[in-house]
Amino acid sequence: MNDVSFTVRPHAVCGYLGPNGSGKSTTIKMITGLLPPSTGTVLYNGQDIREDLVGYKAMLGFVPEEPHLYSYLTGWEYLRLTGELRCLPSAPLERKIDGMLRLFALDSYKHAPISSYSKGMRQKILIVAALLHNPQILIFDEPISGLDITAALIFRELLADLSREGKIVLCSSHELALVESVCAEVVILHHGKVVASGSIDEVRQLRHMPSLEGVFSDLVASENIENTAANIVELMEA
Amino acid sequence: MHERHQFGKLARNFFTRFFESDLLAPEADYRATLSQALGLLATPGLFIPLLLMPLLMMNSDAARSWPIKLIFVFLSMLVMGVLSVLEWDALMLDRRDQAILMALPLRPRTIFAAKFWALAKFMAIFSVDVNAGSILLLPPLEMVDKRNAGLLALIRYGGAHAAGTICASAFIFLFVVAVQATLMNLLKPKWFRRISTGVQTLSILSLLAALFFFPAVMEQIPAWKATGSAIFRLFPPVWYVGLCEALQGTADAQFQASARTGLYALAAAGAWAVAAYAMAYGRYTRASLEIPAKAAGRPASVRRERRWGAGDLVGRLMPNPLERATFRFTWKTMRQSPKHRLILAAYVGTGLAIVLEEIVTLSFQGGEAWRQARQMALLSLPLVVSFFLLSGMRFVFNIPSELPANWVFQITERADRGAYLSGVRKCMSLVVVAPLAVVMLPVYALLMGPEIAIVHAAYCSLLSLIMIEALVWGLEKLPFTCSYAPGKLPVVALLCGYWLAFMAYTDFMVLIESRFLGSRVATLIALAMLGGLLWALTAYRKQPPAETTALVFHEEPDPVVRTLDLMA
Repeated sequence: MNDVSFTVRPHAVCGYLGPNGSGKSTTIKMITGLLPPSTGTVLYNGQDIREDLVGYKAMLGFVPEEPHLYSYLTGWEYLRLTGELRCLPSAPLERKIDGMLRLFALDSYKHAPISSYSKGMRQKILIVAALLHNPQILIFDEPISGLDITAALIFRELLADLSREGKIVLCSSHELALVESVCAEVVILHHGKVVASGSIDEVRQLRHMPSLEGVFSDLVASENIENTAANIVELMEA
Repeated sequence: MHERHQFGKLARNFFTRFFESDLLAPEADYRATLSQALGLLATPGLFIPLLLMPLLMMNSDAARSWPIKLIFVFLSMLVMGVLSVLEWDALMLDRRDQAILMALPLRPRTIFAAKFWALAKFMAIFSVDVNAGSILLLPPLEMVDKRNAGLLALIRYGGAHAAGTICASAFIFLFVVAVQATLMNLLKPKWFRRISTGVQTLSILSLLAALFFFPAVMEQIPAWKATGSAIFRLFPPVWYVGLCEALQGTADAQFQASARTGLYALAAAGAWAVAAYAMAYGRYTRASLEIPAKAAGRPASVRRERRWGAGDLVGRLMPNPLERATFRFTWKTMRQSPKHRLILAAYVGTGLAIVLEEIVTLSFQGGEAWRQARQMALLSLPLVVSFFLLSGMRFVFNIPSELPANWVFQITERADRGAYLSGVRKCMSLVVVAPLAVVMLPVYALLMGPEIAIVHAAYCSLLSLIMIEALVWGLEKLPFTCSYAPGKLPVVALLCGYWLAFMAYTDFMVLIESRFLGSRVATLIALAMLGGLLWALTAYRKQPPAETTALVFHEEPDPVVRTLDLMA
C-alpha cells in the first residue's frame, strides 16, 4: 500500500474497486482492525481505531472475501456463536437469527451443517452474521460472490436501505454494475495506490467516460482488453 | 499410452492425498510429511529390538521364541490398524476429487485403477516401514549362537520374519478397507458419513484397549497354546506368528495350522476388500457429488437441547454471552469435528483401557493384600478417567479447527480474555466433572456405602477442578483457533511428564484418601484443604492484571525445516 487515503461517510455507500492484487483486501483488513498498518492510521470519528480497537470492532459488521466458516456447525449455531461473541442477549438474538434466516431463504437449511451449504448459502450466512448486531459501520468484501440473482437484487436494495439508515458502508466488488447502481462514491485502487476517488459522476466526468466500466478500463487495464481476449483464443487454438 | 500417462499422474496425486490429513501435518509438503510419518512409524519397530537386545544377545533361544515374534506381529498390526483408521477418509475418492476429475476426459476405470494402485502402494510402503526395524534387527539376534549357519540361513530367518509381520500389516489394512467398503454398500451415503466417525472412534478405542490388554495376553498365551484353547487359534497375531514359524521350518502342528489360517484370512480380506471396494466405488462416487439433502426438521442435537432445557441451563450457569459462546464452541467442536473427536477418543480409550485392565487383573486375584489393592484401584478409577479426559481435552484444544475461520473471533474480540477462558473451564467441568460425579455417587454407594460415595465424589470433583485450573493456567488462546506445531517438546520428556502427573494425580492422591477415609474429622480437613486450594487458585487467577489482556491468535504454521536465517 502506498499513501492510500480516502473517507467513507454515512448516507453514501462507498464502492472500492481495483484489479486482483491491487491491495483491496489488505486495505480492508486494515480498516477492520485485523491487520495493523505499518504506517498511517485508520480514523473513525477523527480517532485512531487502534486507540479503542475493541470499541471500534463492536460497531463493525464485516463480510470477508473468502467464506471461511466452521463447517461442522449448522448455520443457526454459527450465527448464535457470532451473536454471543457480540454479547447480544439470548432471546432477542435467537428471534433475530430465525427472522434473518427466513428472509434470506435459509430457513429450511438452518439446522444442516455448513459443510453441506453451497457458496451462495455460505455468503448469506456471512451477510446475516455481519448484520446481527445492527452495526454502525459495514464493510463488504465481494459480498454478492456466489449469490443467486434474487439474493443479489435483495442485497442491492439492502445496501441502499442501510445507507438511508445512516450507516457507513464500504463495499469492495468486481461487479461494476452493483457499484454503479448503489454507491454514491467510489475509490479505485491500482498497484496499492488510489488512482481515482470521488462521487461516481465526478469520476466519470474527470475521465470523460460515460460509464464506470470505461473509467475502470481506462485507469486500470494496462493492456488492450479486446486484443488480450483475441490472443487468448489464438493461444487456445494453437 | 495416453491412458497409462493419465494413470501415472492420477496414482501419484492420490498417493499424495493420503498426506493431506490435518492429523499428520497441515500445510506441509507431502514429501516432508511422508518422511516424518515414515520415521515416526518405523521408530517402535526399531526401538523395541534395541531395548531387548541385551537380553536377546545372551539368550538366542529367547530371540527365537514365538512370544518375542508375537510382540512384533502385534505391534505391526496395531500401528497399521491405527494408521488405516486415521486415513479412513482418504481410502475412497472424496467430493473434491470427484468434482475435479469428472470434468476431465478420464475413463472411470483409469480413476479406479489409479486409486486402487495408490492404496496398494500406501499399504506396501507403510507395511515395510513399520516392520523395517524388527526385520533388520531381530534375525541377527536369533542367529547369535548359530554363527556357522551362513548368510542363507540369516536371509531365510529374516524373510520369514518379514513375511509374518508384513502379512499381518496387510491383513489389518485390507480388513479396514473391506469394512469401510462394506458399510458403503450397506448404508445410504448420508448414513455412511454419519456413522463413519463413530466407527473410527470405536476402532481407535478397540486398538488402544488391545494395546493395554496385550501384556496380560502375553502372560496367558503360552497356557492357551498348551491347552489348545480356541482363543489361541482365533487370535489374529498368532496366525502370522505361525506363518513366521512355518517359514522357519517349525514342526509344531499348531503353528502350521495357524499359518494356513493366516494366509486364508489374508486372501479372504484381500478378496473381500477388492470386491466390496469395486462395488462401493461407483455408487459412492456418484453420491459424493450430490449436494446433501436439506435437514428435515430440527436435528437430534437441537431437539435434545430443547427437550432437556440444556439451553436454559447454559444460560443460567453462564450469564456472560462470551462465556456461553466459548463454552458452546468448545463443546460443539469436540463433539462435531471428526478430527477432534477422534483424538479425544484416543485419550478416553487409553483411560478406559487402563481402568478395564485394572478391573480384570484384580478380579482374578484373592487374599487380604489383594483386597486392599482392589479397594485402592477402585478408588483410583474415576481419577484415571478424569485425568485422561481432561488432559485429552487440553491437548485437542491445541489442534486447530478450520484455522482461517478464526477471523470471527478476531473481529468480535473483547479486551479481557477472562470471560472466554471461563467458558472453556466451565465446558471442561460440565463435560467431565459433573457427569463423573453423577455416575460415581450411585456406583460407589453400592460398592462402598453412601458416606464413602459422597466423600469420594467430592474428593475426585475437587481434584478434577484443581486439575482444570492447572491445565488452563496461563492459556492465552482460545481452543482450536491457533496453528499447531507438533514436536516442540521432546517426546521422552513429555511422556515422563505425563507419567509423573498421572501417578501423582491417581495413585498418590488415592493413597492420601485411603489414609483419611476412616476418620470424619480428617476427611473434613482434607476436603476443606482442597476446597481452599481451589479457591486460592481461582482468586489468584482473577486478580488483575492476570487475564485482562487480549487473546493470542497464532495463524502461521511453524516451518518444516528451520534455518539459521543467515540471509536476513
